[in-house]
Amino acid sequence: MELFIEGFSQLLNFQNFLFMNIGVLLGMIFGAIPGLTVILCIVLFLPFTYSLGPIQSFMFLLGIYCAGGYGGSISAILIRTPGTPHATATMLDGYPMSRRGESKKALNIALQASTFGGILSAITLLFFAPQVGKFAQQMGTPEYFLVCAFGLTIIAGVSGKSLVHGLISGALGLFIATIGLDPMTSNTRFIFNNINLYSGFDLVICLIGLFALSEVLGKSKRSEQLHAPSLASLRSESGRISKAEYKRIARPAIISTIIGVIVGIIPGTGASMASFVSYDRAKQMSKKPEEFGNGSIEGIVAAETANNAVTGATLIPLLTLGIPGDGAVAIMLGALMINGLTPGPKLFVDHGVTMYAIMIGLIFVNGFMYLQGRYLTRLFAKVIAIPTSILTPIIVIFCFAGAFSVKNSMFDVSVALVFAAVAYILTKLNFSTIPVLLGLVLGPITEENFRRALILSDGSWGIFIDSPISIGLLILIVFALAIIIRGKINENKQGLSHAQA
Amino acid sequence: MKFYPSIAGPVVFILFSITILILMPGQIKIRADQMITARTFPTFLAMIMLGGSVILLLREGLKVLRKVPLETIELNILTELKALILMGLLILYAVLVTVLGFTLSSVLFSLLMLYFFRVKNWKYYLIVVIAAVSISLLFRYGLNVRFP
Repeated sequence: MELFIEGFSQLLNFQNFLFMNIGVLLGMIFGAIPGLTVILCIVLFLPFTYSLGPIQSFMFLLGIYCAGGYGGSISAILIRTPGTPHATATMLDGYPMSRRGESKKALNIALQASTFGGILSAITLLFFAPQVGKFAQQMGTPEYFLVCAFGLTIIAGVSGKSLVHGLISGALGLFIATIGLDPMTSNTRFIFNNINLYSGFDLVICLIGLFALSEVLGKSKRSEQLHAPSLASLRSESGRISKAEYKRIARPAIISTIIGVIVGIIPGTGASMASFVSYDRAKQMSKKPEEFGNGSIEGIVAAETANNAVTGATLIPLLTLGIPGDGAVAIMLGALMINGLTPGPKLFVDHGVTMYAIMIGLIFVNGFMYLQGRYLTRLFAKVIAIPTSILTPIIVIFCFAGAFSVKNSMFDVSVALVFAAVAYILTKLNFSTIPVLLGLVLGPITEENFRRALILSDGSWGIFIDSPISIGLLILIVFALAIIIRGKINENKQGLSHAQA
Repeated sequence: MKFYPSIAGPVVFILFSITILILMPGQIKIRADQMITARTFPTFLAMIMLGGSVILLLREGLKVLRKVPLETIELNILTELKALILMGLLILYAVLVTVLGFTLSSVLFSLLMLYFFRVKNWKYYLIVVIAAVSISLLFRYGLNVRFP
């Protein structure tokens, strides 16, 4: 309780709330513009967090992360183009409502559902994370290596074209993280006598190349020019939700929150899965399933509540075990490390107050997301139509400035360019860059625990099956692998039957 | 142009991991009496990449034997060429920064990009120039970054 109160008092600071709101605004804008992603937004603005404290920078990044979820639904509802992948389920009913002249109501429902899901998820984080943290403290180096392996395996399994593709990408990320001085022996590794490589590749530089500049190279494909949505309906409509409608959406909202939280806790699943699973469940449970796909308010509520309910829950494995649930959270893990906070079992012991401040802050982030969404909807609706041709050079300039600012070095800018080219080639070869990111982020702790465990056991791999926790984790890895492989086999069968049809 | 990513990908990773393994002794010096060294983890990773790529290639080989069609991608030469030009523009921008300084080269780069996208609206040019100068000022005075 003491930590809670102290965390709360640390949060009550004007700057924390200022950065929280800037993050929310940026998240909504990047989420709303199709083609721009929440990951891109976090990467572009990560260099700004260097000069901020851990609470401020995390409030800023969480603002982007949470508001990006709602931002994606704005374009999904208004112009039938989801700003984020998980807003696709929202689009199914949001756009038909918009066509009926109920844009404001659809946006209002999406906003309230997102806020509801987000706040409940933040409360879940607040209560569960410290408990999981206590359990995590019982883990030693072999168990911790297995936790990292578990996170990497799941992300590799779900992000790649196949499990093997994902594992190769993850191994590449881990390998890149080994370049530079070895922290345990101080031997140099793969630096080719280049002094700039002594400290290895800075995470931010790699991210700028992998996720921001590579997006620019992808702009070589001709994209459809988006048209600005009509704002007339937004001006004229009241957008009010009646009591009967609130009664109707209460049940799907609660069930979708539970689904979102459960999905969010499992690494590698993500908001898209949560929104589609919830949408499907809501349809099955609805008294009016025929309305789904034609502008059902229950459909919007299910999708939006679930995808924002993921946001807090996904921080549980991140903060307690150091396992990021998705790409955006993996970048936030990097931001924590930049601030000297290493996620994992010791985080709640060493930085309990900061952790509580961050967790309580997430509730406020959702509150401000509601306020900004309520009063700035028209601005976000206008932002959707900003052409890519204007955004692309601005993104590049931001990337160059951000990459240079890390160490005031043009070498880092060149490194970012190399990573952009690598990401472009990997995509062409059907390898996802998300496992590379996970490998980069988890690389140092994975290697440290792997080597420490082997040193403790004089090189015997038996140490990884020595304790009940290790065995439990190994069973979990095997179980996850079995599910992933089964899923991929089913996907391939479906693909084959579609091709034959 | 037809392209086989399911073959090209593993081949690239096989070559990459073999290169790592060949370069390893020269790039990571270790003491002979230690069992777990700075090479242990990178070697383990290179083996994963190598093993995984071999599995992928074998899988494709089986497909050929079973006469199952391999996955192909139709590469649009024009799109790839544009990506190459974009990469060229990025490199040019990096070179220009060291010669002309960040602000001026950012302005030039943004104008070049709009020309590349065949933008004709003069307002767009004005917007990106203002944005380029604003970003330079933001980093210079907001974050105290001293650009070349």
